[in-house]
Amino acid sequence: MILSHAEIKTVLPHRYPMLLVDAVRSIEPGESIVAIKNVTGNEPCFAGLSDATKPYGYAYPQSLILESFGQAASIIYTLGRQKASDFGAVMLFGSARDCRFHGDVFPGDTMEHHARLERSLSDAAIFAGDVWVNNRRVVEVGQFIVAIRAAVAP
Amino acid sequence: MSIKLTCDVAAPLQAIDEVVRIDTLGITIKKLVSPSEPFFLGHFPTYPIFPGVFIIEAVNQAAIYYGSKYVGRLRMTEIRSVRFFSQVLPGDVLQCDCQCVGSPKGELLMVDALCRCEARKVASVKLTYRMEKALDSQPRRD
Amino acid sequence: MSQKTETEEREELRQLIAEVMDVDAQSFGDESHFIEEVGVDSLMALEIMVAVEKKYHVKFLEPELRKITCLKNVHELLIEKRGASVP
Repeated sequence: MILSHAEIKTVLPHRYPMLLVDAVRSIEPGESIVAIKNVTGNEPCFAGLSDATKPYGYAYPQSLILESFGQAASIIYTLGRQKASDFGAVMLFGSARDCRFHGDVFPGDTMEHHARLERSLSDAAIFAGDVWVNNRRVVEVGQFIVAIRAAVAP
Repeated sequence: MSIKLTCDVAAPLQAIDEVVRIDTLGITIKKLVSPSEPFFLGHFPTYPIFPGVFIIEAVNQAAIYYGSKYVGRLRMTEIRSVRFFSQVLPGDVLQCDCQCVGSPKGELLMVDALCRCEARKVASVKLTYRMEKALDSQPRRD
Repeated sequence: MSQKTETEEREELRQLIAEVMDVDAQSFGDESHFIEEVGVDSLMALEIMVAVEKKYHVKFLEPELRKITCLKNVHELLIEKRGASVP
């Protein structure tokens, strides 16, 4: 199964500028996913850079790489269930360990997230996986736990 | 001390509004989470929550700034652990208290941060950085 | 390969849990309640159980995960999972 960007919006509550998954290449609901996000020089995160910014300054922020991965991973869980709007819950970043950054991502790169659901509980999901750019593994995610909470602002 | 930081690297937000303290042992920063930040539109449309990854980003920017004063250019190589205890919402003031410790061989910097909003603990963030001295001509000392 | 005594295993578990919770191993007793006394939240309790599963090659069910509240009952559950007590 593959998902278009429009279909991703039916399973994730995130919206612009925080929807960081472009398309799903393949998915085993409840098990694993391969999803992508293209990085363009037109992203908001590059808007503040000056003409004097060095090439290394164009590295896509690592916090956003992780967010993109986390959203891709969350799709594994939510696709097996209801639509995001029926879901009645938010998936929030709970904790992570052993996330290693081996390389950088630049405008023009496609980040390919390979995520797997390791444990699924009623109020938490545990993921692991990698982020690839072509055949370079740029990030290794050892453990990524998402907490599932009622969507009521305190 | 209020500092307008211009960090010439891509960033999803300006995560430092104020540097509360900075010395060789570490850095404490504050970020006023404004309801009008553009990312709240999408995170999420009906219930704005400061993204957890932006707490990591705040610690990262604090570490980079610390590096610019004391050790040179830094590149994050690992999130050893990050744990979120409670949500950060529009209007909150996020304070990140970061301890920065160099590794014995001098190539790595360990940054351990405790992040709070007022008295409420919001996150614990432990990051590892590689010091990229070889790529900088010389660490900047302002 | 010699078998660990129950005491040795208890201490090994204590170290593992302390590492996950990022506290000193001696700062909590065998019956200190993780959430109420040691300040662990429910996600951290889950992380503890995942770490125990990985180290000891066991698998807990969700109802069992919810029952874990202190070192003593983590250990008891682990022993029960393996189906044998070590003298």
